[in-house]
Amino acid sequence: MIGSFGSYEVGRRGLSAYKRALDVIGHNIANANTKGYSRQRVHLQASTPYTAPSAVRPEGAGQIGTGVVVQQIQRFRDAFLDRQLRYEAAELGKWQTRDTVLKEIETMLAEPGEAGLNAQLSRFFQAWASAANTPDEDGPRNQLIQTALGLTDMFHRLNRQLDDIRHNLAVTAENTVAEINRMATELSDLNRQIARAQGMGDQANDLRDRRDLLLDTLSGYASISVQEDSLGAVNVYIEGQALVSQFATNRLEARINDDGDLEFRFPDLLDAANNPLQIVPTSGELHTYKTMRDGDEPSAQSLQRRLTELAYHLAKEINDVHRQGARIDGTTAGDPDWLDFFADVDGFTVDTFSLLDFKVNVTKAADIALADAALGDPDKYRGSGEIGLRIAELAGTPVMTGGVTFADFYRATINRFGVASQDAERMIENQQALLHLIENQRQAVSAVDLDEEMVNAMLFQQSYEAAARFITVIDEMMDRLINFTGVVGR
Amino acid sequence: MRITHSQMARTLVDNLYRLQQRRNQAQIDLATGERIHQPSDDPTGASKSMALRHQADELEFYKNSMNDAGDWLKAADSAMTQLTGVLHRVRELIISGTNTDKPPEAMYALAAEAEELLGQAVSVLNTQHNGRYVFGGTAYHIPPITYDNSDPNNPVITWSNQADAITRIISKGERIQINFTADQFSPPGNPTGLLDQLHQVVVDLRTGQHESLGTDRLEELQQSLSRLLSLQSEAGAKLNRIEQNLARTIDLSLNLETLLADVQATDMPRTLIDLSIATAAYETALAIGGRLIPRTLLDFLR
Repeated sequence: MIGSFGSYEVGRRGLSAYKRALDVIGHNIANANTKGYSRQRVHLQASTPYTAPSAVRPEGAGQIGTGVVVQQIQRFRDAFLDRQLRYEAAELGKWQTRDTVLKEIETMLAEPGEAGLNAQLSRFFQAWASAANTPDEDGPRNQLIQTALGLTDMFHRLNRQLDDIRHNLAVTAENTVAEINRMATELSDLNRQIARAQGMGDQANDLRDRRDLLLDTLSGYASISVQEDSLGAVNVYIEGQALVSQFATNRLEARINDDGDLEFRFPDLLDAANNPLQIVPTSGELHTYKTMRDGDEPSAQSLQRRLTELAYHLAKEINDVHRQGARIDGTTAGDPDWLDFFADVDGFTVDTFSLLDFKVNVTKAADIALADAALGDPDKYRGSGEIGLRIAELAGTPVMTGGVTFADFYRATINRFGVASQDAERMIENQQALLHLIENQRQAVSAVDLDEEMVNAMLFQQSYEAAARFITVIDEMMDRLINFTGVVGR
Repeated sequence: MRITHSQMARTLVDNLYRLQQRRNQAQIDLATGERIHQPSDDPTGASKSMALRHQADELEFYKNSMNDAGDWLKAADSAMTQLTGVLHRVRELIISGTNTDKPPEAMYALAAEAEELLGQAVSVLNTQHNGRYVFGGTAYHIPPITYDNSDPNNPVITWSNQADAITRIISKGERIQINFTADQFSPPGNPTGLLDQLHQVVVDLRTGQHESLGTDRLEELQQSLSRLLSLQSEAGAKLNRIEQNLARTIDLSLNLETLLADVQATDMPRTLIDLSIATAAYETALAIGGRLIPRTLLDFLR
């Protein structure tokens, strides 16, 4: 038997265990709506029993209980769900950003509608035919020049807006990378704190919650993988390369390389060729920044290329036909003051041409050669609109690569962006549904339920009261023993 | 599965958000009357709509072009009708000139009228439409015929030598020549033949060549009239073709409008039903959420 005062200790242990259990419930309730918080529960355990020492085994039952202790404070968390959620979050991040950029491009294109390039192309070619129908009037010719200027302006505006989009994508990528680096530092700090707490035998639940929340956020930016070591620290890999290893971090960098492309690299790590180690994001926002900026169609750059191709061929084909023409004053191609309709593209190829080179070259009505130079006689030029009609007919001629007309080519491009954007919307919906499901499963494991906490609180409160009552019992026993024992017959 | 209050709250918010999105889309579709606002709303529909708009613009242009072509041809046609009148009158003069009983004074009078008619024929060939010489080829600022009769016995008639075609696009890949040229009214190889003949009539009348009037002159005039008739029927045929084409184009553009509406326009009944369903679901979600979310065990503890 433990000493008489040992029973106080049993009661005291009960009090302190239930007090701690209630504290944990209070903590749960307080954090019921904290993002990333996982509910905690005390694990109670009977404390090490007491075996009365004796040389000869005494009669009676052995091993007397010594009360209860809090063995650990456990955090409810499912690492498998975490991993799943992080993978899907990266996919969602990728599609959401993609959708945003595609919507921005769609808004910019203003199709289908009167404000778009499709309508402007129609107007432009009709302006040629109108001018050709009354070749001796300045009005329709001036109208043609204005429409052509409207067309080139539209190309320039689209070019500028696409430049802006590309610039913004690069800036956002840099900001995101800065955020990733900040999070990496925070993760390594948390690693240190958690390892220290674990080293002292504690669970570091709340620090782990914070770290998991950081990892959740980080996973939206890129494809990451996480490994926990025996100290409780995590190594975080971004596209297979260590971003955080235990207490150290590697700095990631986003930059525009010499080709004008966005790239991500670790400036302090070297690859086999002794160059800074590059990573190519396969998922998450970083993936989208890269692919929407300078990836294959549909990307801002691919759209710029497509528009450039369109503008190049417009200028080239129209100039070619225009050169067969003659002005009313008799000037034909080759004469000193001859002007091409669009700025000369002969010095360019589709690849070297830029949308800024797409310019209207003629300045006044008389510069436009609508007559067929083959007529040969300046008198005949006044009423000839042959060249104008031929240029108007280019609108329906399959002159673009692939045997399509200008408008078909443009429409196919728009169609591809529409499909991609619609795809992104659909993927976001799917991903959100999936994430909702996983998040629900995770919540089922980790979320605080107030009803449950209240039930447990009542339970522990009762136990606390009972433990207190037990101490009163012992106390009364002691009172009896000390104050009333040995006073027989007094 | 363990369900907590926060999960229920989140589910409620997610559902409300989704329903609001549907309601908003229905609202936009109904209020604008269009269901495609950007290509991603329906990529195929959007490119179809763009193609249809493009086509509609083209048709609108063909219509203008055809109306313009029609005006040209009508101008030529009415000029030819006038010319026919002139030639018929000349024919009457010739026939009356074959009468050998006519005294020289009467022949002079006939000659004077014939000379007048020659002038009329010249001015018909120099007809203008909107300030442009109808029969002048592409040089339509130059009168096709110059007629200098300062020496009445030996007038100078010259042709501008302009016979180039003026064309209009009247449908995809289809062009029509809309002009006739002054030389077409004369025998091949002699662009001013008609007028030369008329002058010869004047000379014959004045000099009383009853014989040649009755044979050569009458013969030539007959040929000119039939040449004129065939030109005029060509103009008529072209006008006809344009009118038919125009009617077809108007039909087509009506068709296009219908097609465009099919592709673009909101399906009102369906969208309204969608909106009602979404609204009913939204209100139900709100009502249920309002009863579910506030209750916890705490409400029932003393």
